[in-house]
Amino acid sequence: MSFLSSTMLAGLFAMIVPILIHLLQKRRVVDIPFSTLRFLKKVSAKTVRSARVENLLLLILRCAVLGLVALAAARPVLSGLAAKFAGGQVPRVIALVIYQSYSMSYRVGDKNRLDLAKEMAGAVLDQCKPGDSVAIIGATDRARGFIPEPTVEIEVARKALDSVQMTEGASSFAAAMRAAFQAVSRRDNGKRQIFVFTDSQPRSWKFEPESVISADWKNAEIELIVAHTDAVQGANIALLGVEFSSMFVSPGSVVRGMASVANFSEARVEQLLELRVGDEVLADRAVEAEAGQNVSIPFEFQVPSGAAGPALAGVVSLSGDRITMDDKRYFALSMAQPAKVLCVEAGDGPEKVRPGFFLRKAFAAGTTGATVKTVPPVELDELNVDPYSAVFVLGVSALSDRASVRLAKYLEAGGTVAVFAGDAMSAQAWERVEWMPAKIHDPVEFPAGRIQSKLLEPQHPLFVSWDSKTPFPALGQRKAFKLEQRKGARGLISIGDDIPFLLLGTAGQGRVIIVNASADLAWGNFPVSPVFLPLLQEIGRLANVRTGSDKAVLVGEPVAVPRSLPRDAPFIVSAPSSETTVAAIGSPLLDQAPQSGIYDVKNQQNEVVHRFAVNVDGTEGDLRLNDPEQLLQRITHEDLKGSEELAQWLATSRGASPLWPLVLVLAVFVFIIETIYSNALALRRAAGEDGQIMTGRLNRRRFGQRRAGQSAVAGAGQSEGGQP
Amino acid sequence: MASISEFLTAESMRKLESLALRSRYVSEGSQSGGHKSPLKGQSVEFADRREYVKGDNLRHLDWKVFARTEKYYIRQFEAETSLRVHLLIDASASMGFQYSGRFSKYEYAARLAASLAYLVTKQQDSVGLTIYDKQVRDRLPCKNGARHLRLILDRLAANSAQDGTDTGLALHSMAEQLSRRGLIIIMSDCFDDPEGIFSAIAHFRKRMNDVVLLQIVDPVELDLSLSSIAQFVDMETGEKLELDPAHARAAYKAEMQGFVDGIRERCGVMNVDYRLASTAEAFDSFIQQYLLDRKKMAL
Repeated sequence: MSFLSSTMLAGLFAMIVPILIHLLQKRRVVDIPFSTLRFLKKVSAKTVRSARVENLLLLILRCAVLGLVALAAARPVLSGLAAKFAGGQVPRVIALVIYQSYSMSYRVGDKNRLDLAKEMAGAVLDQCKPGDSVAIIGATDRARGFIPEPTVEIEVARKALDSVQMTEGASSFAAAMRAAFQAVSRRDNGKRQIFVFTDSQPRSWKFEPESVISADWKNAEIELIVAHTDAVQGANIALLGVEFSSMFVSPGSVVRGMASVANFSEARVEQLLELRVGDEVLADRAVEAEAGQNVSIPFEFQVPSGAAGPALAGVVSLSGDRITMDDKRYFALSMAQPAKVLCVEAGDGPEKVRPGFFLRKAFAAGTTGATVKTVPPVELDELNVDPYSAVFVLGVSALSDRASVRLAKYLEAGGTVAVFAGDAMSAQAWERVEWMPAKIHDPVEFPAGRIQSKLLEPQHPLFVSWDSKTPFPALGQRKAFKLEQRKGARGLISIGDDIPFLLLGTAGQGRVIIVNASADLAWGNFPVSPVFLPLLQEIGRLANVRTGSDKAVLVGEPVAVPRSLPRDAPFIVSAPSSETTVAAIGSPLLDQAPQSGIYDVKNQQNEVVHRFAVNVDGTEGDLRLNDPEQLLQRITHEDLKGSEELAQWLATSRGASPLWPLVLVLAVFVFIIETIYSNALALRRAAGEDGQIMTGRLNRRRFGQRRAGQSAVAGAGQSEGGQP
Repeated sequence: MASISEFLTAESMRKLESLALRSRYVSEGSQSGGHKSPLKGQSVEFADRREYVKGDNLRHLDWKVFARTEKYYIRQFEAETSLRVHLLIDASASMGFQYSGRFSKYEYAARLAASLAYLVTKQQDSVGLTIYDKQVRDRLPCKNGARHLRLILDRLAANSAQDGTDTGLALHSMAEQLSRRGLIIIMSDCFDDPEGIFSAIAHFRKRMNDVVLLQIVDPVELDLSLSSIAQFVDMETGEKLELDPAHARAAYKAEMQGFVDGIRERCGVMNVDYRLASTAEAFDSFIQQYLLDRKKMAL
């Protein structure tokens, strides 16, 4: 026999109460002077023993009532032989899926939810019998097999359970379930059970049921038990993300940003948002969010003048609540770097007559400091273009297939290719290039003079430096290709009769820009017009942003080598915990980002060449509980809340007979017996109060004789002789 | 000196105004009175005839009998004398028990005695008082008159319940000292050896006294109506006994009923007028009812 709520056994101490009352009653005896003990002595011998027995019996009954009630409250269950008869001792293959996501750090009482989940999983292990086998899977951003294959050694499983720790990842139910399914499928015999210990947080349950509950799952007759650690509606505020106006900063520049804060609680919250770089607070803003509201908090800060290195790293944080991990977002804004431009031009001759003359002049102008490398088209076949922020193709008649594929891969990775028109370009050859945003047809000639041009998307980043009040100038163009736009292409500038002059298209992560003018003066005066230089520099800057930017990396995600770094050397990645890993050539910097924070990437010379930020998934902070009904509609499962429900279910699922109803009935039965018995005693004692000894009656003999004669006449009998 | 008002209220005395205490048997008073005497006397009530002897007053010669039988017979008449009432009060320690009544048993007995003494004095009879425990503690011979009544009240007030009991010894000694027949009223709780008590009563009865036994008890002594466990201490011996009254009540009452019935039975056999008096009952009401019953009994 075992108890599901053994703490309630403390209620057995209640049995002391009637014993104490009994003893105190015995002690509380008063002296009563009495006229004579003559009659009391006669009765005491008879009554004292019976009174002792009666009192003892009453005491036993009362103790038994209290004891049985306490016993019933402890919920005893009958196991062992009885359970075996009930068929509950079939060996089981159990997978314990324990959520490790950071949302499990929410404290309920004096324990966090992970501790509760581990305790509940421990209860399952406690209840395991010889022959049962257990696998333990951690559910976080991926499934972690603490014991991927079921083991019959429960103590080993218990140690593995103890080693389950909190992670900064977000939980993924689907991945964990697949791992658990594989684990329980490895054994053929026994009943298969998967226990999921979760905080019922909604993010992890967003998946397609079919992706988990496959036909194999159904055939395997797996019993799924979803055990919620508690039924508390958690309250939390999370910093979902931070966006900056520019991914590049320079010392002294002003950077604007927007923080997205979600209030996942049922009450209004007020917090303070701070942006720190090192120990210095560069910006702070008050945050007020109503219950369930998402708010965007704008902020700006000035980059410290002494900022140096590859990136400005810092953290945006909230004041904090019960879950601290989602209250901060790390960032690493790349320090502005000069663009690296590859110029692919055909022809030779003096510099001034080469197609890239004006382009090189334009990039050399001002303080941009961009470096331009010029290569003939044939070199493009073998050249690694990845280090370049932009590739300008100037009047090249045709690209070889290798060059086309190379540029396609370059674009796929986020590069920028700008193609300038020219007489040498073969429309048929360029038509085969798939990443071009338009088909090139024969050029059209414009009449002499300046041709009106029009800015079609003034808001585009390419034109940020162009004063919107200033009309776009007419260009002295003489020629332009007729372009047949492909899907997704956007005309940014048109000339003449709506002929695209600047056409933007996307390929992969990158962008392709067709400039419908020659880079030299062959087709007009565009290279010497006032728009050429700013437009070219903006293309270079935009290309640099593109190639230098890193998308937000979350814990558990892989981190690729950025385009700005050479691919031909290994790197040393230093984690926030100061642990270092080596990223081999051709490998990503990290297969999975293990924790949030700022990571440094160093080269072989131990110079920090790159810096990136890893953050937790803020949506994991949504602690609003899943609707069990909806969950049940998606997956057939046993829904249990808290350790007590789990204990009850465990007891009954093993075929163990719950004894507490029987004990409760017994308690009621004993209580009834006690009531009847004590009432009977009370009645018996009360009966002793009846039948008063009549006083004042006359002599029995004399009046008895007289009344006998009277009653014969009156017919009225008297109860006791002589009593009138 | 104690006054009657200490024992009897005006209301009590009013209740006693119309009542009289009479003996059921002939009395041998020292003065003429309203009670039958064993002697032939000068009353108008014919009693008997006897043969004439020399010296008899010829006034009482029954001429009608002489005419029929030619023998001389003297007509005899009933003598009437005063009643001698002896009040015997048990003043042992057990009579001091008081639990539910206004008075202890002794106080109750004293008030009964005062009432009877007042009544007897009022009807010009003589009354005596004997207070006893193990032996006769105090005694006043039978006399009449207001002065004597005050003496009796004084003695009643002066004494209290104390010491042990030996009713038999005390009553025997009292019986020995009585030279004339009268009415003996014993007021006791009778918590003594019944054989001794009834031996003494037999002694009184042998001397042709009319005996009244008033057994005075507290209601608690009758039904043991106590709620909690108690240690009972014997008031005479100091002996102790722990008992749960609730458990013992039924058996105790049966015991007590047997005891009372036994006394009643033996009183019946010995022609002793027996009454059980509870201190819970007003003593004047008890006396009134008792005397009325006694009057009916005499009819």
